[in-house]
Amino acid sequence: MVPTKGIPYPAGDPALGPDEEKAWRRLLVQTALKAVSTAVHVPTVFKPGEN
Amino acid sequence: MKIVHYVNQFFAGVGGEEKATVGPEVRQAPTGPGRKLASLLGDEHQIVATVFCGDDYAASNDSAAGEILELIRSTGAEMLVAGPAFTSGRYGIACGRVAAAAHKAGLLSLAAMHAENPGVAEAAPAPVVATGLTAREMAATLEKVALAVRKLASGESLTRDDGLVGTGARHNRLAGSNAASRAVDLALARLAGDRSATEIPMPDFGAVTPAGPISDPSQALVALLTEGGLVPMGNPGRLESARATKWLRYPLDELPALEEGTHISVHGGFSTVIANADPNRILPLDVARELRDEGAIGTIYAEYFTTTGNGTSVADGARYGVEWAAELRKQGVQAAILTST
Amino acid sequence: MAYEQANDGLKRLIHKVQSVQFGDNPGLNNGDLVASESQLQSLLSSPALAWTRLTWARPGESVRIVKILDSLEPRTKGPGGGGIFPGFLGPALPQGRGETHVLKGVAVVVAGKLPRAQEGMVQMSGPAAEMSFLGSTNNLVIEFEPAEGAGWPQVDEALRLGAMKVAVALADLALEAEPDEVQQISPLNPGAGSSLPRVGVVVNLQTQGAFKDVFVYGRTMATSMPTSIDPNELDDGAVVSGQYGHPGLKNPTFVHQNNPVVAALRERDGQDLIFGGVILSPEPVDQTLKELTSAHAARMARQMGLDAAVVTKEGGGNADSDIALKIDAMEAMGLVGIGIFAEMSGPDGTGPPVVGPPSAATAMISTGNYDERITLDAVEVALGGKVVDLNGLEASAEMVLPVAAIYGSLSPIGLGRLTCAEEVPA
Repeated sequence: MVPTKGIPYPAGDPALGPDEEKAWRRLLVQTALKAVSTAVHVPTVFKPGEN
Repeated sequence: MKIVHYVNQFFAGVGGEEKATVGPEVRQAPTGPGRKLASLLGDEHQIVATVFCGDDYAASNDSAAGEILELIRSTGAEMLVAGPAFTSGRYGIACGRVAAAAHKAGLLSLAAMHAENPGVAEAAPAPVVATGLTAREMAATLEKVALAVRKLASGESLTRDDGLVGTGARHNRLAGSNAASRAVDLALARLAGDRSATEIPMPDFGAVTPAGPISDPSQALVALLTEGGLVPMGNPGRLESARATKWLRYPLDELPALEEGTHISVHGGFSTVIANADPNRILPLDVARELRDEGAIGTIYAEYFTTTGNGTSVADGARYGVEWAAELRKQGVQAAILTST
Repeated sequence: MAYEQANDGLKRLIHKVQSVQFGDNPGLNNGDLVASESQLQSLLSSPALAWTRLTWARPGESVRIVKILDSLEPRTKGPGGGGIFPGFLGPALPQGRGETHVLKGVAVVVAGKLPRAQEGMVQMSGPAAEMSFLGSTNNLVIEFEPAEGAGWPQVDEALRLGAMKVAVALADLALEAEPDEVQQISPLNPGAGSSLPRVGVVVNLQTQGAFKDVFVYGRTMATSMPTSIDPNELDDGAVVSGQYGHPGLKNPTFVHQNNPVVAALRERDGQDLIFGGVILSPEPVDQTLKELTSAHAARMARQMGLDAAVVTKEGGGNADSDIALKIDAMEAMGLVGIGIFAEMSGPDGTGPPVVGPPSAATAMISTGNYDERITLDAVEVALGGKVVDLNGLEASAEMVLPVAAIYGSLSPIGLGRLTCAEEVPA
């Protein structure tokens, strides 16, 4: 699981400018790719940008 | 009593994952674990037939339970035993649905699977007896199933002592006082030291064994999924804004990104203004394409799956999850990114 | 402060209304309420509304009201309201003192289409009537058509203010009438030194943007931190609902005026508990803010000296997490937190009852299973719309619906008697 900013925009953050928001979204997807490449055995949180 | 036994394609000896799409068939004899069960039941009860079906077919076709029920009826049996499915999700769901359908059709029915299998919730009102985690515990499990069969056949109901799992159905009724007064009573009871008093038992959501990691995202087929109610403009599939009764699939093809005006969220649980101004906020297609172009993702699956997660029961949510997993597996998808609103 | 010293509590003058009708000689006599239709109509006049229509729907009549938005209890403190609904009709100053006339047995009900509103209905007769608090009140139903070119927020605003004015105008008819009952309610003053447990209530308000918002003293609660108010302020309309989602799980203005947990705590204050206070809290959509408001509400509860608090909610599974976070935060501080939940266990009642349950605070009250089906008999008259959006059926037709579609049926603020229990095998 990758935690995001809020219910109405799981892959965005309207508080950011357009470029920053897209960078944030990209980071979320990159973190998701890291998560599916990692072996887990229990519910595991992958914070965006952290290992 | 004449018994029909339901198993999946693997326990029927038809094949493994590559045969998961085969439709239902009947054999006029006990098969696989049914042979051992038959010997445990002795002369008193006979397994007259085995009905089997591929896991994908059984778990991802709405009509599958009905087709399987027809075959069950054709055998003339008075009782159905489904499983044991252990912790296999699709097999458990199939056993649960088949047991529920047979029960409603008037047959005595029993399913067997691990207590945390999502199929437990599908079986009600048919009873489920708990099993171990894997087929390594087949022998002990079948003895338990045989005892449960004898008890049910004699007209008795199963209890927790027989391994019965799952909660009984909960039904609405009127209490003697309003919820506010009862809440104050409960506060005083808990303050006085009663830590167990509650009107709602803590739910058991079961557990799912996580899939193994993919070795290399840059070679993988990756799907984008959402429960954020994202649909093409005009909502052609009429996805509901709350308590969705279905999930839908829509093409992404080679769309570079989602645009305002081509896709909208019909989710009724939050203000969709922000999402609709840029639907990539619900389904991150734009950056997924970028990462694909840069080689970080192999291929993006050509469709996205969507439903509305708003007031959805856990039973429906679990069913959509199993159906999505079965469908994605069939399409060769190795990883999925599911956004949750 | 002199202002505070002047607060010797609230006197509620209760007028029990037995019959309602329109007529040319408005007034309240021996429980018979007569109102001037044209005078009430004039209060609803707004550039945002093309027309409005007023109809009485009485208990026992073969009537269904569909697409219900807000509902209010007629109350007034003097001609024109006298400060009731502070921040809307009166100045945004603390109320909950002086005298308030209350029309019991009457509600003003707004019904029609607004964006994001989810279909909620009430049946005035038959078994379904008892599922809603509006099934047993005489309801003045306001139907409307937006003016051409009017923005939805303006339509919403016009309806909210208009409904309040109509509610006040009805209550004003009782200003000269002898009340059936007088209730003196002291301002909250939780006694020190009592050995009784101090119990309070945390009222979560669903604040999820336009048409899903709740107002406190006329302002949206969406951006607020939890705050404490005197329960008597609720009686005078300090909390007004603009929240049109989740018909079975919403807390209309009527319910805030008659907060049932406050009523239960008042009734037992000094007997087996001390009523320790009221905290209002938003239900934010952002997870970080959910955690912040929950921690803050729990801290307030402790600073108010509470031993226990009942936490109520508004909305579906998302709102469950607002309760769960709060009662868990309270338990972590050594307080008892009790949550009022509705169950979502599927039409046959076999799924897990709560999607996001608490982890430590495991004492929960159930207001019933949201998904259980209920049959509504066909009716002669439908108000609020011609078609039920949920199923596309004619609004007066017989239909089978989830209980969740009945307005206020699963009141997560604790108003109703509905609950849910496991069927015991025979």
